[in-house]
Order: sequence, then C-alpha cells, then structure tokens
Amino acid sequence: MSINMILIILGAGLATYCTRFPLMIISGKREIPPRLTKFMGFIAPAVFTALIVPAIFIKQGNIDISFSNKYIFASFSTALSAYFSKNMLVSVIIGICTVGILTYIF
Amino acid sequence: MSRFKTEELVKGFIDTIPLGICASIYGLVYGMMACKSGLSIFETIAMSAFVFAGASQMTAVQMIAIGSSPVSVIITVLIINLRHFLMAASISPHLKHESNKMKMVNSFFMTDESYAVAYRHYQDDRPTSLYFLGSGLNIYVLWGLAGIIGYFFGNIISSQLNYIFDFAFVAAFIGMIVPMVKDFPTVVTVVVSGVISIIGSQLVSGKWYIIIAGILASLAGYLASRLAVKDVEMDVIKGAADCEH
Repeated sequence: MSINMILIILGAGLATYCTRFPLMIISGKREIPPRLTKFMGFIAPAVFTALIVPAIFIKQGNIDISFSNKYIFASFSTALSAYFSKNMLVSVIIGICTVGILTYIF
Repeated sequence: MSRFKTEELVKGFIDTIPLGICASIYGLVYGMMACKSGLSIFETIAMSAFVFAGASQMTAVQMIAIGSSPVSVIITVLIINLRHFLMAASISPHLKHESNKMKMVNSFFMTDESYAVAYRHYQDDRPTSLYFLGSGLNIYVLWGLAGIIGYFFGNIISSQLNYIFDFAFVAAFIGMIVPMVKDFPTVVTVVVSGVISIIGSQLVSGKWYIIIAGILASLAGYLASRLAVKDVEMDVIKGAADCEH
C-alpha cells in the first residue's frame, strides 16, 4: 500500500469521524442555525455534480461535445432511469448498457 | 449501564436489515469502482473499515482514479460529511443518559441508515445506545461484505471493456443526484456546479476544482433558496394587502 493511500484512508477516516462525534458528545445544548442547515443540504448535490460533469464532457483534457462522446447520451438515459426507477443499481445497469450498445452499434 | 443488554443490540441489528440490504447495493457499486480505480482488495476493505461512509468512499475512489492529491481527497470527504453534524445533533438528545465512551463508539457507526432506524425507534421506545450500535454494526458488516463482492465482480470484467464500465461511476453518482433534485434551488446548485467544474477543470491545476465548484455551487443554491423564500414572503404580503381592499 502506498503512502498516499494510507494518508487518504486514515485522513478520510479521521475527517469523517470528526464530523460524527462532536455534536454527539455536546448533546442538544446548542441548536444549529437553520441557515447553515439549509446550506449544508446543497453540498452533496454540488460536490457530486462537480465530480461527474467533467468526467462526462472532458476527454483527453479537452471538452468533447459530439456524438462520439457516448457518455453524454448515456448520462441522459441514466438520469431518466434514476428518475423513474428510483433505484441506483437499475440506473447503473442501464447506464452501462447504454454505453455498451452505443460502442458496439455505432 | 449496569448490565449488558444484548437483546437491544440484536434488536437494532435485526431492525436494520431492510436498509442494510439497500446499503449493500451501494456497496457493490463501491467495490466495483474501487477495483476499476486500481485499489487493491486490501485497500478497498481498509477504506470501508476506517472511513465507513458510502458517498465519501465512492468520491474518494473516483478522485484517486483521476489522480487527485491526498489533501484534496480528504477535504472533499470532509465537506461531503458535514451533514453528519446535523444527524448527530438530532439524535444526541436521546442518548443524554449514556456514557461519553459509548457515544464515541456510536459516533463511529453512525450512518444515514442507522441514524434513520434508531431515530424512528427512539420515538416510541426507550432510547439505548446499544440499539444504535446494533443498527450501525449491521450496516458496517453488510457494507464491508458488499464492497468485497463488488470488487471481485469488477475484477472479472475484462479491461478491454473499461470505457464501458468506467461509466458505472458516473451512473452511480447520477443515481444519487437525481433523487436530490426536488426544487429550484437544487437545480441551480447542480447547473452552477456543472459549469464551474468544467471551467475549473480547464483552468485550475490539480483537482481542486471539485472543492471550488462544490462550495460555490452550494452557496448559489443557498442564495437561490433565499430568493425563493423572499418571493413567497412578497406573495404573502401582497395577498394580505389584497385582503385589506
């Protein structure tokens, strides 16, 4: 295991634990401001989007918006299946199948 | 805690089985992504054992795959997990009578799933930290096992099919984002994050654009929600004014 991996695993573990224990110990003495609660609600969709959008549109360092970029169409089919099935595994399978079909047919 | 009430622990474990099965579906995808990102089976298990946070592990694995620095991975995991503050704050009043040591243990095993099960249980029954622990252990075991199974599934997929299976991670995150997009401010968040991350990935060195886009887009979503609130308030005021006439 590389030093970087050890750093990531232990660091991410510590970071996660540091978000879990403080308010468990200091129980209910202080309310979290509702504005902060509201703000935190947007973090997950924001970070997740920032992770995948470049992965969809950027190929070999350049923005690729064309038919040869199969991830674009597959993202639409995945989003639709996520919306209707509300099931992550179904969305993943449909997404992979879409890329697979596009790769072999076109 | 005068005597060890095993039945509470077991009850917590059993009550969490349905949500544990849901978590293991994510675990399978995590294991597959970890394999495709080049992690060893040992690293995949170690991450489940030490980090034990679904979305964070998937994010970390993807960031490793694209060559992010350890510091940017750790900061990203930290901000994704900020919501744990809210969960801990909401459940801790129920566990006031428990020892700090037990609360420290409970904190480690607190996930979205075990929080949901324990919180519901505490509305009707006497809250115990052992119930919460049993629930957390269920997720811990199922999540860990699912990761291992997913890893071996990823391993048997031929590397010629990598272009196709690399999409699994994009699909997994789309599967998480879509159910979150319920209102206009979240739409704003997603659009702003998409635009900033594309621009940022071209301009900013390293993978810091993920954190930059994440924070700026959360702010944009928050501001949009403030505007939405103001609109409603304006309507209420207008409505009241209309009533007076």
